[in-house]
Amino acid sequence: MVPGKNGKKILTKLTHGFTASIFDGCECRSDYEDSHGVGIRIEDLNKSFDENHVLKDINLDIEPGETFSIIGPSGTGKSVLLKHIVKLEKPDSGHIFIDGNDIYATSREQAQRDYRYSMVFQSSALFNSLTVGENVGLWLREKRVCTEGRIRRIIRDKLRLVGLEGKEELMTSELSGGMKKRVAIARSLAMNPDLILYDEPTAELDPVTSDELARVIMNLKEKVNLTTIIVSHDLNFALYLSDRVAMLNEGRIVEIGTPEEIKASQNPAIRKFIYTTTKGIKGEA
Amino acid sequence: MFERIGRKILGAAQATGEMVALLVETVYYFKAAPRNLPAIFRQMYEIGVGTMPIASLAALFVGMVLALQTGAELALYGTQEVIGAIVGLSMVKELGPVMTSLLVAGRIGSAMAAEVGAMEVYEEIDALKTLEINPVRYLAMPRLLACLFAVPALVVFATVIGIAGGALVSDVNPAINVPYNVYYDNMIRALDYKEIFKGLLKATVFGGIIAQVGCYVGFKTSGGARGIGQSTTRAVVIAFLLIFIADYFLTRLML
Repeated sequence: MVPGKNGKKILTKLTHGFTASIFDGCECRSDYEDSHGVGIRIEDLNKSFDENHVLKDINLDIEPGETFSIIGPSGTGKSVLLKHIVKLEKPDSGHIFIDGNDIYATSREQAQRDYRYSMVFQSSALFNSLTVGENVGLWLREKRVCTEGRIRRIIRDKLRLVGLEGKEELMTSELSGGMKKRVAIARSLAMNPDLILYDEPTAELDPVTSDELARVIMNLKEKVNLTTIIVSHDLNFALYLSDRVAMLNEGRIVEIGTPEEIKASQNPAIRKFIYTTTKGIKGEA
Repeated sequence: MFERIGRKILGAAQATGEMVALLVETVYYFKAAPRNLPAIFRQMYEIGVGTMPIASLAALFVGMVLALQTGAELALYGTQEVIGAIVGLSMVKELGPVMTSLLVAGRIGSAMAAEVGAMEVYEEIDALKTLEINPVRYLAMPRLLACLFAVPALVVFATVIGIAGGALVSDVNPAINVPYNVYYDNMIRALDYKEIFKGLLKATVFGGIIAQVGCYVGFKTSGGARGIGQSTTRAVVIAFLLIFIADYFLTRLML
C-alpha cells in the first residue's frame, strides 16, 4: 500500500524525529544562508601532555576568507593546534580569538558567537550507522534548521559540490577512502560554515585522489566565502591550495609566508622538509 | 604498595563521580526525547526483540530446573503443591530480573561499549562535538531511555516463560505431579501486585545500570581496536558486579 500525503508526512516525522514540524511556511532558519569568513588570532598558545610540551608559544593571525595551511612533519602538534581552534582541546595557557571573541572565555561572552565552524577529520569520522545522505544532513536535522524537503535539497546540492551526486542512499562502508573524505567535506559544508578545518585531508589517499580532493577544495574556495585552515604534511597539496602557509616544527611556528616565500625560504627546517618531500629519483641529478 | 592501593581507590572514586555526572547529564537530556524517538525505538527494538529469543530460552530452562530441583525435594515431604508459589515468587522477585538483566548486559551492554568506544576511537564523537551535537544527548540518552523501558518489558516476558517452564515440569514429571490448575492457583495466591512491582523496579534499575555502564565505558575508550576490546569486557564485568550489588540493596530495602 502506498502511503498518502499525510501518511508520508507522519512517516517522515517518525524517521527524522519531528524535525520538520516546527517550520510553517518558511524553509530555513533566517541565519542559515549567511556565511562569512572569520578572522582568527592565536596568542601565546601552550599545550603539554604530561611531560611532552607539544605546542610552544604559538602566535598566528589568519585573515577572514583566507586559505591557510599549517605544514610540518608528523608528531609536531599540527592536529593538536587544530583541535584547540574547534575547542576539542583546552590550552594550558594562551588565547584564541575568532572574530575578536576569545573562544575560551566565560560562557556569557561566548554567547556572542555568531559563526559556525566544522572540521574534516583525518579519519573522515563518518557515522557508520548512517547513510551518506543522513551523514550530510545530520546537523541540519539535529538543529532543525530547515524543513525536511529543503534538507534533502541541501544534501543533494552539497553532494553535487563534492562530485558525489546521487550517492545519498549508500552506506559509508561502501565508500572508498577518497569518497569518504568528500562525504566528510559535504557534511561540513551542510552547515554553511564560516570556518572549515581540514586535518590531514590527503592522508591515506593516492596522488590522483589527492589531486581530485585539491580540486574540490579549490572549487569550494571560489564558490563559498569561508576561512579555510588545512593541516597537512603534504607540501605540494598545501602550496597549491593556500594563500599563506605556516611551518610548525617541534611545537613552534618557524616560518609564515605565501607559498612562494615558503618555497624560497632558507630556514633549515623548511629546506629539510622540502628536500625530503621533493627529492626525486635515487641517483638522478 | 600503599601508593598503588591509594591510586586504585582514587581511580574508582573518580570513575564513580564521572558515572554519576554522566547519569545526571543523561537524565537532563530526557527533555529532548521526543525528537530522538527514532533512535530510542531503534535501541528498544535491539534490546527487546533482539534479546527475546535467548532470554526466553534461558528463562524456560531456569523455570524448569527450579521446578525440578525444588519439586523433587518438596515431594519427599508431600508439600509439592506449593511449587507454583515458589517458582512464581522466585521468577518474579529475583530470577526474572537478575537473569534477564545479566543477559542484556552481556549482549547489549557490551555492544553499547563497543559501539560508543569505536566512535570515540575513530573521532566520531569529536565530529559530533564539532557539529555542535552533544554526544550524551545523541548517544547516551536514547540508550538509557530504551533500557529503562525495554529491560522491564523483557523481564515480564521472560518471567512468564520461566513460570510456564516450571508448570510444564511440575505437571509432566511423575516425581512432582502437580497439575497446571493447582500450580496456577498456588502461584496466584502467593503473588500480589507488590511483588510484581518490586521485580519491575529491580528490572528498571538494572536496565539503567546496563546503559550507563555501557555508555560510560564507551566514552572512556582509548587505544584503538585493543582498547575497544578491553572496553567491551570491562562493560560486562562492571555491569554484572553493579547488578549484583544493586540487587542486594534493593532486596534489603524492599523486604
